[in-house]
Amino acid sequence: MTPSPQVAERPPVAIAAGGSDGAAAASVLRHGLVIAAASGVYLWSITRVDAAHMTDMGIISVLPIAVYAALIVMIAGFATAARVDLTGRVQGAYVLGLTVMLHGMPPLAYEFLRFSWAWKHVGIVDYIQRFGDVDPGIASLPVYHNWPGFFGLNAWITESSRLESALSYASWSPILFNLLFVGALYVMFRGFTTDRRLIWTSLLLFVLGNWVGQDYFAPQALAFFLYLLVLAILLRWYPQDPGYLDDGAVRPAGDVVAPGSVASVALSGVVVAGLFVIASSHPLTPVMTVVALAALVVSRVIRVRWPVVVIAVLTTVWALGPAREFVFANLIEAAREAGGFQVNVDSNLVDFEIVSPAQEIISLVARGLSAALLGLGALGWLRRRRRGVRSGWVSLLAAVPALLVMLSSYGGEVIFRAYLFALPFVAYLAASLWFADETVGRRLLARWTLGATIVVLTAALLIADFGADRRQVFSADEVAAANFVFENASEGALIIEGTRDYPRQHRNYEKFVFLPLDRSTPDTLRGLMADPAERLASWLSDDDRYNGGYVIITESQRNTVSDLGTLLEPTLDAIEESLLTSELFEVVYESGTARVFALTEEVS
Amino acid sequence: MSSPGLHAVHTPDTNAGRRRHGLMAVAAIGAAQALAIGLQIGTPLQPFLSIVFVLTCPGLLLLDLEQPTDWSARMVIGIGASLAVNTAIATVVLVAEAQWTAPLVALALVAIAALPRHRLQGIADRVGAVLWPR
Repeated sequence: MTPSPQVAERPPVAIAAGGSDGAAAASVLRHGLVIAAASGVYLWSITRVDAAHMTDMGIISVLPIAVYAALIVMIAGFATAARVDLTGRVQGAYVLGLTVMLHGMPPLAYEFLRFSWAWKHVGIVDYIQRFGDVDPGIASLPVYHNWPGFFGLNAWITESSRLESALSYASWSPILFNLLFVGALYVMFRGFTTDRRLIWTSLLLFVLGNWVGQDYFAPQALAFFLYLLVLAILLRWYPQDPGYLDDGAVRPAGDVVAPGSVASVALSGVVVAGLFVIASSHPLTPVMTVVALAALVVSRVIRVRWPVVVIAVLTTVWALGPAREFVFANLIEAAREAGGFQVNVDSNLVDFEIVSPAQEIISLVARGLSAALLGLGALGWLRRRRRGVRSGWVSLLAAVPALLVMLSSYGGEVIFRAYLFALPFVAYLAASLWFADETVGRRLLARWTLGATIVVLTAALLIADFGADRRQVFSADEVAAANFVFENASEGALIIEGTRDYPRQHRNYEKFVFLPLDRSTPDTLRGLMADPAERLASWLSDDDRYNGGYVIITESQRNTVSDLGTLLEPTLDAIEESLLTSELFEVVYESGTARVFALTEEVS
Repeated sequence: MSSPGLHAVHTPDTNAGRRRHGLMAVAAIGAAQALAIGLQIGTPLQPFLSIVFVLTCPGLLLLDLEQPTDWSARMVIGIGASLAVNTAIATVVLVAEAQWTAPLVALALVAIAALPRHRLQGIADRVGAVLWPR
C-alpha cells in the first residue's frame, strides 16, 4: 500500500509547537507542578474517606470535594497538554496519574479488600498454602482448581514472603493491573501510530471506560494483561507489512526485529510463556486469544501463524488434560448456551423492576458509559475514513469479541468480558475523533470538547465502577465476624448467609458448606418464612449432612438485599428478628452491625 | 515493498557499557530473593522483595537487548515476561519446591544471558531456522 501524503510527511516533533526550547521547558515544568499539586491534594483527601457513611450511590457519596477538584485539574491539564506535547511525556504523566487516582481509589480509601469474590480468590490461595496443591475434582469452586496459574503464583508470593494471607497485598491489584494494561497498550499503539496525542488519549479513554471491575485480585486480570502483551508483540514486531504503521505512516527505523535475531527469539519466548499462562490461568481468555489471533492471521495482519497454533494446542491440551474433569462436567451446559446471543445478553443485565432506584441509575450510567464509548468509536472510525487513514485491524480487534457473546453467557458475565476485550480498540478509534491524523486536533474547540468528554466519562466511571461499593466494601466488624465463623466452625459445618456479599470463603473454605438464602428457590423461601428460626434450626441440626454451623448476617448483606431487590427483600430483617427472639438460637458473636448466630447448647 | 527499519537490526552496538544493566539487576534481585528464602528472613521487606522478584526476574534481561529499540517497550515486555515465566513455573510445580524453582530458573537465564553474543546469536540462528524457515 501507499501511505497517504498527510501522514507520511510529518512536521518535525517538538515539545511545544511553534515555541522555543525555553518555552517548552517552562511548559513541562508548569505541568509537572500541576501534577504534583493535584496528586498531593488527592492523596491527602482520599485517605480521609469515611466508607461507613456511604449511601446506595457508592463512593461518590463520600468523596471529598478536593478529590473531584484534583481530578478536574488533571483532566484540564491533559486536554491542554494535547496541543503542545508532541513527545507525549506530559500527557503520559497525566494518564498514569489519573490511572492511579481513579483505579487506586479502593486500596487508598478502603481498609479492606473490595468485592466479596476477591475474598474467595484469597481463599484459593489459602488452600494452596495449606495443601501445596490444587484439587481439580473439588466440589466447591472447582473452576479455580482447574485453571490455577494465578493462584499458584500468589501462593508462591505469600509463602516466600512468609505472609499469612494474600490479603496483605491483594487490595493493591487494581493499581498494578491498570498500569500494566496501560503499559501493554502503549507498546501496542506505538505500532499503530507515531502520534503520541492519539496514543495517550486512547489510553485515557480505555482507563475511563474500564468500569467492568476486571482489574481486581483475579486471574482474568493477569490473563487480560498477557493477552494485550501478546497482541502488542505480534502486531508491532511481526506485522505482515513491516514497512508501515497501521495508519500508513513509515515505521520508525529500528522498530523492526529481524527474524532469527536474539531479540526475535526472546520476543517469541515471551509470547509462548504468555500463551501458556493464558491457557492455564483462565477459561475464557484462551478462547478470546484463539479468536483474535485467528482473525489476525486470516486477515493477513501478522506474518507469523505459529502463535495461533500454539494457543489452540495449549488450550485444547489444558482442557482435555488438567482441566478435563471440569470441562466434561460442564460441557452440556456450555453447548446449550452456544449460539444464544440474545439469551446470553439478557442473562447479563439487571432487572430494573426489582432493583432500587439508585441501582437503576447506576446501571443506566454504566450502560450509557459503554454506549458513549462505542458511539465515539464509531464516529472516530468515520473520521479516520474521511481523512483517508486506515483502521483495518483496530476495527477487527474491536469487533471480534462480540463472538464471545455467541458462545456462552459465562455465568452472566460474558457481555462485560466481551466489552473489556473490545475496549482498547474502541478507545483508540474514539480518540481518533480528535486526532485522526497529526494535522488535526490543535484548535481550541478540540481541547474543550476533549476535556468536557473526559470529565463526563470520569463522572460516569465513578458511578459505574464504584456505585456498588456499599455492598462490596467491608468494615472491620464484618471482617471480624467472618473470621470468627471460619476459625470456629467445624469441618463439614453449614454456613448460612443472607447473601454472598461479605468477606466470604477466604479461609478454610473447602471445609464448609455455604448456603446463601437469597439464592433459594421461591418455594424454599416461602417455607423458611413460615418460621425462620425453626426452619434454620432444622437445617443446622441435620447431623446426617452437616457438622453444626452458623448463621452470619452483615450490613453488606443487608445492603445487597435492599439495592438489588433479591428474593429476601424485605425478609432478611424478619429472619434476623426471628433469630434474635427465638430460644433456639443465640448470638455467639456480635461486632457493630455484623451478627453470628448458632443453635443454643440445648438444641445442638 | 521496502522495509525501512530492517537495516537498523544489525547496526553495531555503540552502547555496550549500558547493555548489561538488566543482567546485573536480575542477578542481584534473584540472588537476594534466593538468599532471603534460604535464610527465612521474613522481615517486612520480604513481601516487597517477592513482588519485585515476580515483576522483574527474569524479564528485565530483555533490557539488555538491542531490539526493540524502544526502552519503555523492553521494560513493559520484561515485566510481562517475568509475570508469565513465574506464573508458568508456579503452575507446573504448585508445591513448596516452587520457592526454589523460580530463583533457580532466573539464575539459569542469567547464565544464558551472560554467554558471549556470538554464542547467543548461534543459538538464535538455530531456533530461528525452525520458527522462520527461509
